[in-house]
Amino acid sequence: MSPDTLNSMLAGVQAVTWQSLVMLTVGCLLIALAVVKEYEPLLLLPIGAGCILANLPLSPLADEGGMLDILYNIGVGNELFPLLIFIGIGAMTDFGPLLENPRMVLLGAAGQLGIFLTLILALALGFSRPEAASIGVIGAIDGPTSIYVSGILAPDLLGPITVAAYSYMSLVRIIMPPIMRLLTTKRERAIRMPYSQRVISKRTRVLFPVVVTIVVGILVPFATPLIGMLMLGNLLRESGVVERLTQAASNELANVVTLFLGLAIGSTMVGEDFIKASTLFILGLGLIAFCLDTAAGVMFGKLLNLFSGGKFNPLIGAAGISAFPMAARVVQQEAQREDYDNFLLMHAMGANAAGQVASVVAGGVLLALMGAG
Amino acid sequence: MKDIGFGLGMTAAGMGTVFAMLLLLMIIVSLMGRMDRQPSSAENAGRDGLAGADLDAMSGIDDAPDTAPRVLADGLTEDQIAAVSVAVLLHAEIRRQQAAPAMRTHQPGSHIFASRWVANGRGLQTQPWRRS
Repeated sequence: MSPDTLNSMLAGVQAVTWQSLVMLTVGCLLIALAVVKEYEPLLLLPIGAGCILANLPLSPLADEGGMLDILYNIGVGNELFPLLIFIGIGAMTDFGPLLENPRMVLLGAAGQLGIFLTLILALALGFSRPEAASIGVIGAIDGPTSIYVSGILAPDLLGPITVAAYSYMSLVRIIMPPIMRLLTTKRERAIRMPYSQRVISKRTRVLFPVVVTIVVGILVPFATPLIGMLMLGNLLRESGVVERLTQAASNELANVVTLFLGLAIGSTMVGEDFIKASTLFILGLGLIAFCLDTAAGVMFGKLLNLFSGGKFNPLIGAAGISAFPMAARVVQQEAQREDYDNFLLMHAMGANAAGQVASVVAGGVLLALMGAG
Repeated sequence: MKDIGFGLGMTAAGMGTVFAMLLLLMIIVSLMGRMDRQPSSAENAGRDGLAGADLDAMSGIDDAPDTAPRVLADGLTEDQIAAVSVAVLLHAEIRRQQAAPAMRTHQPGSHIFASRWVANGRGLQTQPWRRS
Protein backbone atom coordinates (compact mmCIF):
# COMPACT_ATOMS: atom_id res chain seq x y z
CA MET A 1 0.00 0.00 0.00
CA SER A 2 1.50 3.30 -1.07
CA PRO A 3 1.81 6.16 1.41
CA ASP A 4 -0.62 8.22 -0.70
CA THR A 5 -3.29 5.56 -0.45
CA LEU A 6 -2.74 5.29 3.29
CA ASN A 7 -2.95 9.07 3.60
CA SER A 8 -6.21 9.26 1.69
CA MET A 9 -7.65 6.42 3.77
CA LEU A 10 -6.71 8.20 6.97
CA ALA A 11 -7.65 11.66 5.72
CA GLY A 12 -10.71 11.74 7.98
CA VAL A 13 -8.75 10.91 11.11
CA GLN A 14 -6.04 13.43 10.22
CA ALA A 15 -8.62 16.17 9.71
CA VAL A 16 -10.10 15.83 13.18
CA THR A 17 -9.59 19.02 15.16
CA TRP A 18 -10.34 19.84 18.77
CA GLN A 19 -13.06 22.22 17.59
CA SER A 20 -14.79 19.50 15.62
CA LEU A 21 -14.59 17.17 18.63
CA VAL A 22 -16.17 19.83 20.85
CA MET A 23 -18.94 20.41 18.33
CA LEU A 24 -19.56 16.67 17.95
CA THR A 25 -20.02 16.61 21.74
CA VAL A 26 -22.38 19.60 21.53
CA GLY A 27 -24.37 17.81 18.80
CA CYS A 28 -24.61 14.67 20.96
CA LEU A 29 -25.66 16.83 23.92
CA LEU A 30 -28.47 18.41 21.90
CA ILE A 31 -29.67 14.98 20.78
CA ALA A 32 -29.49 13.75 24.38
CA LEU A 33 -31.56 16.74 25.56
CA ALA A 34 -34.13 15.98 22.88
CA VAL A 35 -34.28 12.22 23.51
CA VAL A 36 -33.76 11.94 27.26
CA LYS A 37 -35.29 15.18 28.52
CA GLU A 38 -37.67 15.73 25.58
CA TYR A 39 -36.67 19.41 25.41
CA GLU A 40 -38.11 20.69 22.08
CA PRO A 41 -37.20 17.37 20.42
CA LEU A 42 -38.69 18.36 17.06
CA LEU A 43 -36.04 21.04 16.65
CA LEU A 44 -33.15 20.06 18.92
CA LEU A 45 -32.82 16.56 17.46
CA PRO A 46 -32.41 17.70 13.82
CA ILE A 47 -30.17 20.59 14.98
CA GLY A 48 -27.98 18.13 16.89
CA ALA A 49 -27.88 15.79 13.89
CA GLY A 50 -27.03 18.68 11.57
CA CYS A 51 -24.30 19.81 13.94
CA ILE A 52 -22.73 16.35 13.97
CA LEU A 53 -22.98 15.94 10.20
CA ALA A 54 -21.42 19.36 9.58
CA ASN A 55 -18.53 18.79 11.97
CA LEU A 56 -17.48 15.36 10.81
CA PRO A 57 -14.05 15.77 9.25
CA LEU A 58 -14.11 16.52 5.53
CA SER A 59 -17.90 16.23 5.59
CA PRO A 60 -19.13 16.68 2.02
CA LEU A 61 -22.63 17.43 3.35
CA ALA A 62 -21.70 20.89 4.58
CA ASP A 63 -19.41 21.79 1.69
CA GLU A 64 -20.58 24.00 -1.13
CA GLY A 65 -23.18 22.04 -3.08
CA GLY A 66 -23.63 19.52 -0.25
CA MET A 67 -27.09 18.67 1.04
CA LEU A 68 -26.87 20.80 4.18
CA ASP A 69 -25.51 23.73 2.18
CA ILE A 70 -28.40 23.39 -0.28
CA LEU A 71 -30.94 23.27 2.57
CA TYR A 72 -29.40 26.41 4.09
CA ASN A 73 -29.50 28.27 0.79
CA ILE A 74 -33.05 27.33 -0.17
CA GLY A 75 -34.65 27.96 3.17
CA VAL A 76 -32.58 29.76 5.78
CA GLY A 77 -30.45 32.17 3.76
CA ASN A 78 -33.59 33.64 2.20
CA GLU A 79 -35.81 33.31 5.35
CA LEU A 80 -38.24 30.95 3.60
CA PHE A 81 -38.33 28.17 6.22
CA PRO A 82 -39.31 30.32 9.24
CA LEU A 83 -42.14 31.82 7.21
CA LEU A 84 -43.41 28.39 6.16
CA ILE A 85 -43.28 27.29 9.79
CA PHE A 86 -45.40 30.31 10.68
CA ILE A 87 -48.15 29.02 8.36
CA GLY A 88 -48.14 25.80 10.37
CA ILE A 89 -48.15 27.65 13.70
CA GLY A 90 -51.08 29.79 12.53
CA ALA A 91 -52.98 26.67 11.48
CA MET A 92 -52.42 25.15 14.91
CA THR A 93 -53.19 28.23 17.02
CA ASP A 94 -56.63 28.99 18.41
CA PHE A 95 -56.96 32.74 18.97
CA GLY A 96 -60.36 32.17 20.57
CA PRO A 97 -59.24 32.95 24.15
CA LEU A 98 -57.78 36.24 22.90
CA LEU A 99 -60.97 37.13 21.01
CA GLU A 100 -63.01 36.33 24.11
CA ASN A 101 -60.91 38.65 26.25
CA PRO A 102 -59.27 41.38 24.13
CA ARG A 103 -57.78 43.17 27.17
CA MET A 104 -55.17 40.40 27.35
CA VAL A 105 -53.56 41.79 24.19
CA LEU A 106 -51.65 44.36 26.24
CA LEU A 107 -49.97 41.62 28.28
CA GLY A 108 -48.40 40.41 25.05
CA ALA A 109 -46.79 43.81 24.58
CA ALA A 110 -45.32 43.83 28.11
CA GLY A 111 -43.77 40.42 27.45
CA GLN A 112 -41.53 41.89 24.75
CA LEU A 113 -39.61 44.29 27.01
CA GLY A 114 -36.80 41.74 27.41
CA ILE A 115 -35.97 42.10 23.71
CA PHE A 116 -35.05 45.75 24.03
CA LEU A 117 -33.37 45.56 27.44
CA THR A 118 -31.19 42.71 26.20
CA LEU A 119 -30.34 44.76 23.13
CA ILE A 120 -28.92 47.42 25.47
CA LEU A 121 -26.92 44.78 27.38
CA ALA A 122 -25.54 43.35 24.14
CA LEU A 123 -24.48 46.83 23.01
CA ALA A 124 -22.76 47.32 26.37
CA LEU A 125 -20.86 44.07 25.82
CA GLY A 126 -19.49 45.37 22.52
CA PHE A 127 -21.73 43.70 19.95
CA SER A 128 -22.51 45.73 16.84
CA ARG A 129 -26.01 47.22 16.53
CA PRO A 130 -27.40 44.60 14.10
CA GLU A 131 -25.86 41.82 16.22
CA ALA A 132 -27.31 43.30 19.42
CA ALA A 133 -30.77 43.52 17.84
CA SER A 134 -30.50 39.89 16.70
CA ILE A 135 -29.48 38.77 20.18
CA GLY A 136 -32.27 40.81 21.75
CA VAL A 137 -34.87 39.08 19.61
CA ILE A 138 -34.16 35.83 21.47
CA GLY A 139 -36.35 37.57 24.05
CA ALA A 140 -39.31 37.12 21.72
CA ILE A 141 -39.15 33.45 22.84
CA ASP A 142 -40.22 32.65 19.35
CA GLY A 143 -37.91 30.43 17.28
CA PRO A 144 -39.06 31.37 13.77
CA THR A 145 -39.06 35.11 14.59
CA SER A 146 -35.53 34.84 16.01
CA ILE A 147 -34.34 33.00 12.89
CA TYR A 148 -36.07 35.46 10.58
CA VAL A 149 -34.73 38.60 12.26
CA SER A 150 -31.20 37.33 12.88
CA GLY A 151 -31.08 35.90 9.35
CA ILE A 152 -31.55 39.43 8.05
CA LEU A 153 -29.54 41.41 10.60
CA ALA A 154 -26.69 39.06 11.59
CA PRO A 155 -26.57 35.82 9.59
CA ASP A 156 -23.22 34.94 11.19
CA LEU A 157 -24.90 34.57 14.59
CA LEU A 158 -27.78 32.45 13.32
CA GLY A 159 -26.51 29.20 14.85
CA PRO A 160 -26.04 30.28 18.48
CA ILE A 161 -29.16 32.49 18.40
CA THR A 162 -31.36 29.65 17.15
CA VAL A 163 -29.94 27.18 19.65
CA ALA A 164 -30.47 29.69 22.46
CA ALA A 165 -34.03 30.52 21.35
CA TYR A 166 -35.17 26.92 21.11
CA SER A 167 -33.27 25.76 24.19
CA TYR A 168 -34.86 28.39 26.39
CA MET A 169 -38.29 27.78 24.86
CA SER A 170 -37.96 24.20 26.02
CA LEU A 171 -36.94 25.35 29.50
CA VAL A 172 -40.06 27.45 30.10
CA ARG A 173 -41.16 25.16 32.92
CA ILE A 174 -37.81 25.58 34.68
CA ILE A 175 -36.98 29.25 34.05
CA MET A 176 -40.33 30.95 34.62
CA PRO A 177 -41.64 29.67 37.99
CA PRO A 178 -38.85 31.00 40.26
CA ILE A 179 -39.19 34.49 38.74
CA MET A 180 -42.97 34.39 39.07
CA ARG A 181 -42.73 33.35 42.72
CA LEU A 182 -40.06 35.93 43.46
CA LEU A 183 -42.11 38.83 42.12
CA THR A 184 -45.52 37.92 43.52
CA THR A 185 -46.92 37.34 46.97
CA LYS A 186 -48.76 34.20 47.97
CA ARG A 187 -51.96 36.19 48.18
CA GLU A 188 -51.55 37.59 44.66
CA ARG A 189 -50.91 34.13 43.22
CA ALA A 190 -54.10 32.86 44.83
CA ILE A 191 -56.35 35.52 43.29
CA ARG A 192 -59.21 33.87 41.48
CA MET A 193 -60.52 35.33 38.26
CA PRO A 194 -63.95 34.23 37.07
CA TYR A 195 -64.05 33.18 33.46
CA SER A 196 -67.16 33.70 31.42
CA GLN A 197 -66.97 32.05 28.06
CA ARG A 198 -68.22 34.17 25.21
CA VAL A 199 -69.36 32.74 21.93
CA ILE A 200 -67.16 33.89 19.08
CA SER A 201 -68.89 33.77 15.74
CA LYS A 202 -67.27 32.23 12.72
CA ARG A 203 -67.41 35.65 11.03
CA THR A 204 -65.20 37.13 13.77
CA ARG A 205 -62.82 34.20 13.68
CA VAL A 206 -62.39 34.59 9.92
CA LEU A 207 -62.19 38.38 10.04
CA PHE A 208 -59.53 38.38 12.78
CA PRO A 209 -56.59 37.10 10.67
CA VAL A 210 -57.58 39.24 7.70
CA VAL A 211 -57.92 42.43 9.74
CA VAL A 212 -54.72 41.81 11.74
CA THR A 213 -52.74 41.21 8.55
CA ILE A 214 -54.02 44.37 6.91
CA VAL A 215 -53.58 46.60 9.98
CA VAL A 216 -50.13 45.32 10.94
CA GLY A 217 -49.05 45.13 7.31
CA ILE A 218 -49.91 48.78 6.74
CA LEU A 219 -48.48 50.10 10.02
CA VAL A 220 -45.37 47.88 10.27
CA PRO A 221 -44.54 46.67 6.74
CA PHE A 222 -41.42 44.88 8.01
CA ALA A 223 -43.67 42.55 9.99
CA THR A 224 -45.79 41.65 6.95
CA PRO A 225 -43.97 38.41 6.06
CA LEU A 226 -44.20 37.13 9.65
CA ILE A 227 -47.73 38.25 10.51
CA GLY A 228 -48.98 37.51 7.00
CA MET A 229 -47.91 33.85 7.15
CA LEU A 230 -49.07 33.41 10.75
CA MET A 231 -52.49 34.79 9.92
CA LEU A 232 -52.67 32.90 6.62
CA GLY A 233 -52.34 29.65 8.58
CA ASN A 234 -54.99 30.83 11.01
CA LEU A 235 -57.32 31.84 8.18
CA LEU A 236 -57.01 28.35 6.69
CA ARG A 237 -57.99 26.91 10.06
CA GLU A 238 -60.87 29.24 10.84
CA SER A 239 -62.38 29.35 7.36
CA GLY A 240 -63.34 25.71 7.77
CA VAL A 241 -63.50 25.21 4.02
CA VAL A 242 -59.95 24.05 3.34
CA GLU A 243 -59.59 21.19 5.78
CA ARG A 244 -56.96 19.49 3.64
CA LEU A 245 -54.80 22.62 3.45
CA THR A 246 -55.15 23.16 7.20
CA GLN A 247 -54.07 19.59 7.87
CA ALA A 248 -51.21 19.89 5.39
CA ALA A 249 -50.01 23.18 6.88
CA SER A 250 -50.14 21.97 10.48
CA ASN A 251 -48.74 18.50 9.80
CA GLU A 252 -46.87 17.74 6.59
CA LEU A 253 -45.60 21.23 5.81
CA ALA A 254 -44.65 22.06 9.40
CA ASN A 255 -42.96 18.68 9.91
CA VAL A 256 -40.95 18.69 6.69
CA VAL A 257 -39.84 22.30 7.10
CA THR A 258 -38.97 21.72 10.77
CA LEU A 259 -36.68 18.84 9.75
CA PHE A 260 -35.01 20.86 7.00
CA LEU A 261 -34.72 23.95 9.19
CA GLY A 262 -33.18 21.98 12.06
CA LEU A 263 -30.60 20.33 9.80
CA ALA A 264 -29.74 23.63 8.10
CA ILE A 265 -29.35 25.46 11.41
CA GLY A 266 -27.25 22.61 12.81
CA SER A 267 -24.98 22.84 9.79
CA THR A 268 -24.14 26.45 10.70
CA MET A 269 -22.64 25.26 13.98
CA VAL A 270 -19.19 24.58 12.57
CA GLY A 271 -16.51 24.47 15.26
CA GLU A 272 -14.23 27.19 13.90
CA ASP A 273 -17.11 29.68 13.79
CA PHE A 274 -19.14 28.51 16.77
CA ILE A 275 -16.54 28.13 19.50
CA LYS A 276 -16.05 31.75 20.46
CA ALA A 277 -16.55 33.81 23.56
CA SER A 278 -19.39 35.58 21.75
CA THR A 279 -21.37 32.32 21.62
CA LEU A 280 -21.27 32.06 25.39
CA PHE A 281 -22.34 35.71 25.65
CA ILE A 282 -25.24 35.05 23.28
CA LEU A 283 -26.39 32.04 25.31
CA GLY A 284 -26.15 34.08 28.52
CA LEU A 285 -27.91 37.12 27.05
CA GLY A 286 -30.67 34.90 25.69
CA LEU A 287 -31.33 33.57 29.17
CA ILE A 288 -31.36 37.11 30.56
CA ALA A 289 -33.80 38.17 27.82
CA PHE A 290 -36.16 35.36 28.78
CA CYS A 291 -35.97 36.24 32.48
CA LEU A 292 -36.59 39.93 31.73
CA ASP A 293 -39.61 39.07 29.59
CA THR A 294 -41.12 37.02 32.38
CA ALA A 295 -40.36 39.68 34.97
CA ALA A 296 -41.79 42.47 32.79
CA GLY A 297 -44.94 40.46 32.18
CA VAL A 298 -45.47 39.80 35.89
CA MET A 299 -44.79 43.44 36.78
CA PHE A 300 -47.31 44.58 34.17
CA GLY A 301 -49.73 42.06 35.66
CA LYS A 302 -49.14 43.67 39.06
CA LEU A 303 -49.92 47.05 37.52
CA LEU A 304 -53.20 45.70 36.17
CA ASN A 305 -53.84 44.20 39.59
CA LEU A 306 -53.43 47.64 41.10
CA PHE A 307 -55.80 49.26 38.60
CA SER A 308 -58.38 46.50 38.95
CA GLY A 309 -58.51 46.85 42.73
CA GLY A 310 -56.80 43.54 43.40
CA LYS A 311 -58.96 41.45 41.09
CA PHE A 312 -56.30 40.63 38.51
CA ASN A 313 -53.88 37.76 39.13
CA PRO A 314 -50.40 39.06 38.16
CA LEU A 315 -49.20 35.56 37.26
CA ILE A 316 -51.14 35.87 34.00
CA GLY A 317 -48.71 38.58 32.90
CA ALA A 318 -45.97 35.97 32.63
CA ALA A 319 -47.95 34.23 29.88
CA GLY A 320 -47.56 37.24 27.59
CA ILE A 321 -44.62 35.64 25.81
CA SER A 322 -44.69 33.64 22.63
CA ALA A 323 -43.98 30.16 24.00
CA PHE A 324 -47.43 28.84 23.18
CA PRO A 325 -49.04 27.10 25.04
CA MET A 326 -46.31 26.17 27.55
CA ALA A 327 -46.24 29.59 29.20
CA ALA A 328 -50.00 29.48 29.85
CA ARG A 329 -49.70 26.02 31.36
CA VAL A 330 -46.92 27.17 33.67
CA VAL A 331 -49.15 30.02 34.87
CA GLN A 332 -51.95 27.56 35.58
CA GLN A 333 -49.58 25.25 37.47
CA GLU A 334 -48.25 28.08 39.59
CA ALA A 335 -51.76 29.30 40.41
CA GLN A 336 -52.76 25.78 41.38
CA ARG A 337 -49.79 25.47 43.70
CA GLU A 338 -51.39 28.12 45.89
CA ASP A 339 -55.01 27.24 45.33
CA TYR A 340 -55.81 23.91 43.72
CA ASP A 341 -59.24 25.06 42.54
CA ASN A 342 -57.95 28.23 40.90
CA PHE A 343 -58.50 28.03 37.14
CA LEU A 344 -56.55 30.70 35.23
CA LEU A 345 -55.75 28.68 32.15
CA MET A 346 -58.14 30.41 29.73
CA HIS A 347 -57.04 33.90 30.83
CA ALA A 348 -53.42 32.81 30.46
CA MET A 349 -54.13 31.31 27.03
CA GLY A 350 -55.51 34.70 25.94
CA ALA A 351 -52.32 36.43 27.11
CA ASN A 352 -50.21 33.71 25.49
CA ALA A 353 -51.97 34.07 22.13
CA ALA A 354 -51.41 37.82 22.42
CA GLY A 355 -47.72 37.11 23.06
CA GLN A 356 -47.63 35.17 19.80
CA VAL A 357 -48.89 38.19 17.84
CA ALA A 358 -46.82 40.65 19.90
CA SER A 359 -43.54 38.82 19.31
CA VAL A 360 -44.10 38.98 15.57
CA VAL A 361 -44.97 42.68 15.77
CA ALA A 362 -41.89 43.29 17.94
CA GLY A 363 -39.70 41.47 15.41
CA GLY A 364 -41.08 43.66 12.62
CA VAL A 365 -40.66 46.82 14.69
CA LEU A 366 -37.06 45.85 15.43
CA LEU A 367 -36.36 45.37 11.73
CA ALA A 368 -38.02 48.69 10.95
CA LEU A 369 -36.00 50.53 13.60
CA MET A 370 -32.80 48.95 12.31
CA GLY A 371 -33.71 49.99 8.79
CA ALA A 372 -33.35 46.43 7.52
CA GLY A 373 -34.84 45.46 4.24
CA MET B 1 -22.06 55.55 25.59
CA LYS B 2 -23.35 56.48 22.17
CA ASP B 3 -24.46 52.88 21.68
CA ILE B 4 -26.24 52.82 25.03
CA GLY B 5 -28.10 55.98 24.04
CA PHE B 6 -29.02 54.28 20.79
CA GLY B 7 -30.25 51.24 22.76
CA LEU B 8 -32.36 53.37 25.07
CA GLY B 9 -33.85 55.16 22.07
CA MET B 10 -34.62 51.79 20.46
CA THR B 11 -36.26 50.59 23.67
CA ALA B 12 -38.45 53.66 23.95
CA ALA B 13 -39.42 53.67 20.27
CA GLY B 14 -39.76 49.89 20.05
CA MET B 15 -41.86 49.35 23.15
CA GLY B 16 -43.91 52.45 22.37
CA THR B 17 -44.69 51.15 18.89
CA VAL B 18 -45.43 47.63 20.10
CA PHE B 19 -47.78 48.93 22.80
CA ALA B 20 -49.49 51.30 20.35
CA MET B 21 -49.94 48.53 17.79
CA LEU B 22 -51.37 46.12 20.31
CA LEU B 23 -53.62 48.78 21.80
CA LEU B 24 -55.01 49.33 18.31
CA LEU B 25 -55.46 45.58 17.91
CA MET B 26 -57.24 45.44 21.26
CA ILE B 27 -59.67 48.13 20.13
CA ILE B 28 -60.28 46.36 16.81
CA VAL B 29 -60.83 42.98 18.49
CA SER B 30 -63.21 44.58 20.99
CA LEU B 31 -65.19 46.15 18.16
CA MET B 32 -65.35 42.80 16.40
CA GLY B 33 -66.64 41.32 19.64
CA ARG B 34 -69.40 43.93 19.70
CA MET B 35 -70.40 42.94 16.19
CA ASP B 36 -70.93 39.45 17.57
CA ARG B 37 -73.20 40.69 20.32
CA GLN B 38 -75.43 42.91 18.15
CA PRO B 39 -76.99 40.18 16.00
CA SER B 40 -77.63 38.02 19.03
CA SER B 41 -79.39 40.88 20.85
CA ALA B 42 -81.46 41.51 17.71
CA GLU B 43 -82.29 37.84 17.66
CA ASN B 44 -83.26 38.02 21.31
CA ALA B 45 -85.51 40.96 20.57
CA GLY B 46 -87.08 38.98 17.77
CA ARG B 47 -87.41 36.02 20.06
CA ASP B 48 -88.99 38.21 22.75
CA GLY B 49 -91.51 39.38 20.18
CA LEU B 50 -92.16 35.79 19.30
CA ALA B 51 -92.46 34.90 22.97
CA GLY B 52 -94.97 37.67 23.43
CA ALA B 53 -97.00 36.30 20.57
CA ASP B 54 -96.73 32.82 22.06
CA LEU B 55 -97.88 34.09 25.43
CA ASP B 56 -100.75 35.80 23.75
CA ALA B 57 -101.56 32.54 22.09
CA MET B 58 -101.39 30.73 25.42
CA SER B 59 -103.63 33.22 27.11
CA GLY B 60 -106.21 32.72 24.40
CA ILE B 61 -106.10 36.24 23.00
CA ASP B 62 -105.49 34.79 19.60
CA ASP B 63 -107.22 31.65 18.44
CA ALA B 64 -104.37 29.18 18.19
CA PRO B 65 -104.87 26.01 16.23
CA ASP B 66 -104.72 22.73 18.18
CA THR B 67 -101.58 21.69 16.31
CA ALA B 68 -99.59 24.71 17.60
CA PRO B 69 -96.36 23.68 19.31
CA ARG B 70 -96.46 23.61 23.09
CA VAL B 71 -94.49 26.41 24.75
CA LEU B 72 -92.52 25.28 27.80
CA ALA B 73 -90.43 28.23 28.96
CA ASP B 74 -89.00 31.53 27.74
CA GLY B 75 -91.17 31.34 24.67
CA LEU B 76 -89.33 28.27 23.39
CA THR B 77 -91.17 25.31 22.01
CA GLU B 78 -90.28 21.71 22.80
CA ASP B 79 -88.58 21.37 19.44
CA GLN B 80 -86.53 24.51 19.99
CA ILE B 81 -85.46 23.37 23.44
CA ALA B 82 -84.48 19.99 22.04
CA ALA B 83 -82.49 21.66 19.26
CA VAL B 84 -80.74 23.96 21.74
CA SER B 85 -79.92 21.00 24.00
CA VAL B 86 -78.42 19.02 21.12
CA ALA B 87 -76.42 22.06 20.00
CA VAL B 88 -75.08 22.67 23.52
CA LEU B 89 -74.09 19.03 23.95
CA LEU B 90 -72.45 18.96 20.53
CA HIS B 91 -70.58 22.18 21.24
CA ALA B 92 -69.39 20.87 24.60
CA GLU B 93 -68.22 17.67 22.95
CA ILE B 94 -66.30 19.59 20.28
CA ARG B 95 -64.69 21.85 22.90
CA ARG B 96 -63.73 18.84 24.95
CA GLN B 97 -62.19 17.12 21.95
CA GLN B 98 -60.31 20.28 21.03
CA ALA B 99 -58.94 20.63 24.53
CA ALA B 100 -58.17 16.98 25.01
CA PRO B 101 -54.95 16.59 22.99
CA ALA B 102 -53.33 19.48 24.82
CA MET B 103 -54.36 18.33 28.25
CA ARG B 104 -54.23 14.55 28.20
CA THR B 105 -52.38 11.73 26.58
CA HIS B 106 -55.62 10.02 25.63
CA GLN B 107 -58.84 11.70 24.71
CA PRO B 108 -61.58 11.34 27.32
CA GLY B 109 -64.03 8.74 26.16
CA SER B 110 -61.46 6.85 24.16
CA HIS B 111 -61.18 3.19 25.00
CA ILE B 112 -57.63 3.55 26.20
CA PHE B 113 -58.56 6.33 28.55
CA ALA B 114 -61.79 4.71 29.65
CA SER B 115 -60.36 1.47 30.85
CA ARG B 116 -56.92 0.32 31.74
CA TRP B 117 -58.32 -3.21 31.83
CA VAL B 118 -59.25 -2.92 28.17
CA ALA B 119 -55.83 -1.52 27.33
CA ASN B 120 -54.15 -4.29 29.29
CA GLY B 121 -56.26 -6.94 27.60
CA ARG B 122 -55.45 -5.55 24.19
CA GLY B 123 -51.77 -5.51 25.05
CA LEU B 124 -51.96 -9.17 26.00
CA GLN B 125 -53.79 -10.00 22.79
CA THR B 126 -51.30 -8.22 20.55
CA GLN B 127 -48.24 -9.29 22.54
CA PRO B 128 -49.14 -12.72 23.95
CA TRP B 129 -45.49 -13.52 24.73
CA ARG B 130 -45.41 -10.78 27.38
CA ARG B 131 -46.63 -11.40 30.87
CA SER B 132 -48.85 -8.76 32.38
